[in-house]
Amino acid sequence: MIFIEGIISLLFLVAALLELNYNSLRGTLFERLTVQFYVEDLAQWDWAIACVYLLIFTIFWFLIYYRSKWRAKLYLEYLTRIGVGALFIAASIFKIKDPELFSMLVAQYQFLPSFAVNLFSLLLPVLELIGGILLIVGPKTRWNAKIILFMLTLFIIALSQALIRDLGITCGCFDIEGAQDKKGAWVALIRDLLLVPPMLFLSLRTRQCWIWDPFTLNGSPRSGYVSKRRF
Amino acid sequence: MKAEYKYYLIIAGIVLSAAIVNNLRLGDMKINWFDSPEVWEKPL
Repeated sequence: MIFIEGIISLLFLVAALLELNYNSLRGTLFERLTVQFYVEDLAQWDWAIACVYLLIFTIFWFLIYYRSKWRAKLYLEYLTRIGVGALFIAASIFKIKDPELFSMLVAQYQFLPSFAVNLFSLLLPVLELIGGILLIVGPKTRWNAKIILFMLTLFIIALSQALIRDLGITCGCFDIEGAQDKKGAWVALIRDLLLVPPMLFLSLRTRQCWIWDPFTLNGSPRSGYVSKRRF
Repeated sequence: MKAEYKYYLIIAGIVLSAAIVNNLRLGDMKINWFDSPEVWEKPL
């Protein structure tokens, strides 16, 4: 029963994320898959609909929490690990493909001294990719979360100084096209700020394990869960 | 604590070598490591 609740709540979380990011999915395969669920007339209510979905997700999570606290916590930890890791991997791909273009975006921030711009734009995407993969897979979750937290701090400082100085920047977060106006930069800043508390939690309190450990160690694989004692 | 630093050192090594490989992959369009593109005075 808890498993079914978990699946249903996950569906609502994914629906909320799709609702929020629908504009950036236009023209992709994703649009063709999701277009029948999307009502154009309700486009202006995207935020409200996403909030309702998130509310339903929270209700389902509390239903799980009511039965078994540690399972609900494990579930939330896993969602954060996989979600943030996938976010960083997705963000790193275009930067690794085209470091020259990314270094131009970095230079626009006018934040680093000129000798460090290319160095930074070659090293950061690789760190993003490796940090993302390690956060999802790796056994040292707290240490990996600290790497991600370090990068988030960098992004927050760079974005906020660019916004304060009123520079005409493109965010350069996920795509070259993304965030070409001030509103996009604000959205990116708020997203980074929202990611800080869960990453703080992961870097201080989470269990250190491989992603598959709770499903393989200590007990029958069919149960899908491991006893509390193990961690 | 010591193990943590060692872990970060290993990751730094992996990142550096991957960045070098990525830069070599670009072939003739190799980027100069200690340089900056000319966009300082003209933001978008």
